[in-house]
Amino acid sequence: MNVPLVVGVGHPDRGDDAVGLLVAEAVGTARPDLDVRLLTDPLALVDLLPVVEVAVVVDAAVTGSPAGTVHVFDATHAPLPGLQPGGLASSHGLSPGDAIELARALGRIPARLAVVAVEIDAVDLGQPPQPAVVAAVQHAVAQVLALVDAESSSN
Amino acid sequence: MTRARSLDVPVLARVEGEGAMHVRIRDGKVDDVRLQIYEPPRFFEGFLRGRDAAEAPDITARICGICPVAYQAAACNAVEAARGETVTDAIRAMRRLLYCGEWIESHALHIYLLHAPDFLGYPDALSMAADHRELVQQGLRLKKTGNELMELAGGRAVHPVNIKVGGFYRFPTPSEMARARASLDQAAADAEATLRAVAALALPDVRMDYHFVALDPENGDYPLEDGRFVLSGDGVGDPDRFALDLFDERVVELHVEHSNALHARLHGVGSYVVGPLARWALVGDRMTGRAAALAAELDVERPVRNPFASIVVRALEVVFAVEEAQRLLDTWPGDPGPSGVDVPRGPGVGYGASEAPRGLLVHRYRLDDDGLIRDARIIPPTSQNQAQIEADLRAFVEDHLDLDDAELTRQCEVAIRNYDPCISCATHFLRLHVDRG
Repeated sequence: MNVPLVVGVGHPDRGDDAVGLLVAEAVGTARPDLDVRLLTDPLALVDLLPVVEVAVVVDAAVTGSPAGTVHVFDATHAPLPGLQPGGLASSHGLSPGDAIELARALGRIPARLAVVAVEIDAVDLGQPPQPAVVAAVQHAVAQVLALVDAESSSN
Repeated sequence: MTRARSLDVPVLARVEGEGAMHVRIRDGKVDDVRLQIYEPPRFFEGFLRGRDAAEAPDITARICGICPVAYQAAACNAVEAARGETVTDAIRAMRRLLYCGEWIESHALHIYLLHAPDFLGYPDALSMAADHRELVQQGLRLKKTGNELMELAGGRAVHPVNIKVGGFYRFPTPSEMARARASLDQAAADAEATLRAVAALALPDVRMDYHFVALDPENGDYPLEDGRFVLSGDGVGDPDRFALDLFDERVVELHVEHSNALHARLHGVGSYVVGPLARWALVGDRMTGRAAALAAELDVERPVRNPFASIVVRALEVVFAVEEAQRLLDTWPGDPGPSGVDVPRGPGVGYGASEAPRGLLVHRYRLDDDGLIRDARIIPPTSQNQAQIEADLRAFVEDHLDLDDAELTRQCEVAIRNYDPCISCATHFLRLHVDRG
């Protein structure tokens, strides 16, 4: 099996939206053996996903749960829940979910694809993430590593 | 009895930014067309006041995530013009290379992900990708190549950080340039295949009488990163040519109630077109090499008066931009000199312009004795195209009243996408509403 890929998506200067990047950075520090990438352009996922067997994408999410709640989704065979049809409506608003579905349409989904998402609720310009979101980073890291290690041990 | 119809699209899809459209039809005549740009005003001109002129490229780059280089180049040009400074040929060449990257990336994105689904019968790019994998992969390869050129010359693909007033913080190394050059052969093949594919599309047959406006660089190049003169004409007769510094006298911006983006009018003309159709109409004879050969082989008319054929001209410009990037890398001097020239702080008024993927972009700054921006005016391409988009829609709807509301609405959205409008830039625009009463 090739090296598992962990991709953090987010914006470093938009409050809680930085959480995907923070989690991926922490994963990279804890596990230098993994291929960790930080993205601001989710479309790059279309090129990254097909070259690995296991990938975990880390992003922020808004589902109505309390800020800091960590969600885990299996995106190997189905779109993320709540993804609107007719994606790619505007390249300014391209989401990781849209990029994953484009990759799926192109046959570029790895054997195992998971999304770890941290609930957020504040994306103010230039603000740091809220304490509740920062406090969730280590739990999200643990979820990412559990996914990667579970898949590695099954191969 | 009045017979009336109304067509509404509350949120236009596959355009950059947020807007809507409303069309009202009464007794078989289009009574009202409104392209509503409801994305809030972004006040960038206000943000610039009191800021150091050197900050203008980085601040204005944030107007757009798709065409930041257009803003950076125009800002640099305006500040340098205000201070009476010019850059070296090598700096100009590197700006043009950076700009080629943006054209390839932006045009490929629009052609493949936003516009092609309209002509291949798909509701969106995801549905199209499932049936046309190789086509979409070709587009994604092109976009990636564009991004790589922007990373090479600009330091990163989104909101580049290596460009500054006076030049660049550093030039890329020869090995970095060699790596970028190697990927351009595949891009050239992809660009040619893209042009051949879109030239074969079945497009609606529409003919409009357009007035075109495009930059006219003094060195006779196809317009891209700079130009001190502007061409204005119908693409058939000799165009009017005026200095960029007269843009404020020639173009008036008007506020219309239904749009948060100003509408531009050319003095003595009214609405006009900027972008690929305008560049091709006014200076298409400046294309050389493979782009010129393919335009002749595929019989791309000049001027193109069918707005739906803008996708063909956009693809032609991708061929050109790839070839131009190859040329710029192949002719890069062994000793390019310094990557920047000094632009001393001080007073002045300067106009700067560049040809964003979607059309002419003009900046004008007034600087004070300390080099601070006292007044700024930014005229983005979508603001300039808005009135003509509405005119296109009016003409298209009047000629296609036999279509039912759903199909007429769909085709109106396609007509808007012909312009690759960037609403986010213009507010500084789409919901469609057709009202037949």
